[in-house]
Amino acid sequence: MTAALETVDLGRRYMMNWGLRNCSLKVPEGSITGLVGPNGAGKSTLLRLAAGISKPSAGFLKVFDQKVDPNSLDFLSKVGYLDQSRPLYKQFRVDELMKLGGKLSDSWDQASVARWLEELKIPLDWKVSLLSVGQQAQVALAMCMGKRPNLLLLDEPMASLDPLARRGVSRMLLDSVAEHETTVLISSHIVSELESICDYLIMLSKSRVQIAGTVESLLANHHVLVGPLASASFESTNVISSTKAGRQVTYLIEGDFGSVGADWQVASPDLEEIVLAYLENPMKQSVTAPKGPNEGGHS
Amino acid sequence: MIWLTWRRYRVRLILLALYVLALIVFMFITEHAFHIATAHCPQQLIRTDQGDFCGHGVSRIESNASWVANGIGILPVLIGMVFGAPLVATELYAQTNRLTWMQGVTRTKWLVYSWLTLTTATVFLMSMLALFVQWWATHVVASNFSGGGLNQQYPFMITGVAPVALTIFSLSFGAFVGVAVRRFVSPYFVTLIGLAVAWTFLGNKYRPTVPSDYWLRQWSEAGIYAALSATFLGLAIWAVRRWRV
Repeated sequence: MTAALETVDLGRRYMMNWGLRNCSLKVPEGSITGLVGPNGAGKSTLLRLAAGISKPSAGFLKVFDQKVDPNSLDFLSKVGYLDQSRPLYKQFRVDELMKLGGKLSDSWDQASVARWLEELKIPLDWKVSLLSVGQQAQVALAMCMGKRPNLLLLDEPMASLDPLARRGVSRMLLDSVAEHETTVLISSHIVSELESICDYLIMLSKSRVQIAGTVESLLANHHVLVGPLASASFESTNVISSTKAGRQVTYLIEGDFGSVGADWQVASPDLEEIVLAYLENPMKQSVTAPKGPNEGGHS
Repeated sequence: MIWLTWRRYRVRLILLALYVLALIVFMFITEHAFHIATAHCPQQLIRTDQGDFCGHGVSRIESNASWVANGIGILPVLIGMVFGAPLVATELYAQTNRLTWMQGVTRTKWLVYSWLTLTTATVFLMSMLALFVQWWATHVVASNFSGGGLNQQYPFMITGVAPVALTIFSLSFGAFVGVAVRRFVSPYFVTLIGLAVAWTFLGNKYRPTVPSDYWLRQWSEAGIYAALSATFLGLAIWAVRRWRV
């Protein structure tokens, strides 16, 4: 697989604390990869490092097989980054920001940006400071998509958006990606949103990659088994979570499980259930995840 | 980048241009008034305190001269505060630098172009003033400038090349301060202190060591300001290229 972004033992220390440590992962080229994980897992740090806004304290990372160099025009024109703080010139009007995009970027797609903003019903003659927080986030996203990057790094693009706006943004994202074959790495807390957009999922927990695989294979390889506690016998390869409720027990397992008794129910979990199971059990690791240097039983 | 800088600073640039225009108009009017007031005075009485009418006229001109001198004298420092200090500092504060960089502008280009745009505009306005005040001085207050009621610093720092070079320095230094101090101290405060130190040191300590020739002193001080300017701009570029969170 060709990687749009590859990190090896990547680490970033802030004073005494590591924001990210020993992180090794690959984002497949052409994928829309969801990046999930608990707060403090290092998602934003990873995105900042990939954007060249932050500098690694350990390990290294490559974007399209090249070193991340924020002073190289080639790098800057390839990578788009939506900062969590959504920086915009607040005193500019929206159409002035679009004009700015055209002046700064060689590959600016004015027609698409105008269409997206129209679909999102953003008033172009308003000052950015008068827009709502959610609208500002949409404008910021349109700005980084408008330059048609090869790799789009989005830090919580759905935060502060209402459900309708989320759908609009998802459409705009898919629209752009389909047209330009952009690779997208998108961090989010809202897994259900990711399921409809992403085809690849990476889950970080304390910098460790718990899951890294296509959404399709994750959905196909995980099962929920519900049955009586007394007869819990199946050949599980990887039990991710088990929940007891009375005499019932619910397992979320990965991989084959042989055959189960007639009193057992087998169901397919959705992506959110899978992610939650891993979130509750941070030591579990999907077989799809790369074996990092941290493997060996200790936390 | 030029458009972006213009868009960000256009109100301030227009206000500065209006201020410069007001000073120039003021000089035109006072020059005209001076001619009318002294038309019937014997030439030797105009610049002395003898004779009621002519003496009165001259003292009025002296007060006009100090207005003009102060109005121009504060400009390089004012430009440093209004354009230099916020050049980088406000962008880092609002993180809009990230927006511009990620649109595909290298950090060096970002800094040099915004510096160059503001420097060109302010230097143009400052040079206009420096030229006009020279014309005004030779017409109206030639003798008053070389001595008397006015502070020696002012006449020197409002005409010629030194104030123009100081203007360039105030922008470079302000840009450097913006990268260097980040959010720990007010960049405005640090810029003001830095400019005051340079201005005082060159005016009081360095200038007396140079032979007492007006243009020699002008060019030597301008040279020092230009060298400082290049140094601090270079440092600012170096720091911004290394800048990471």
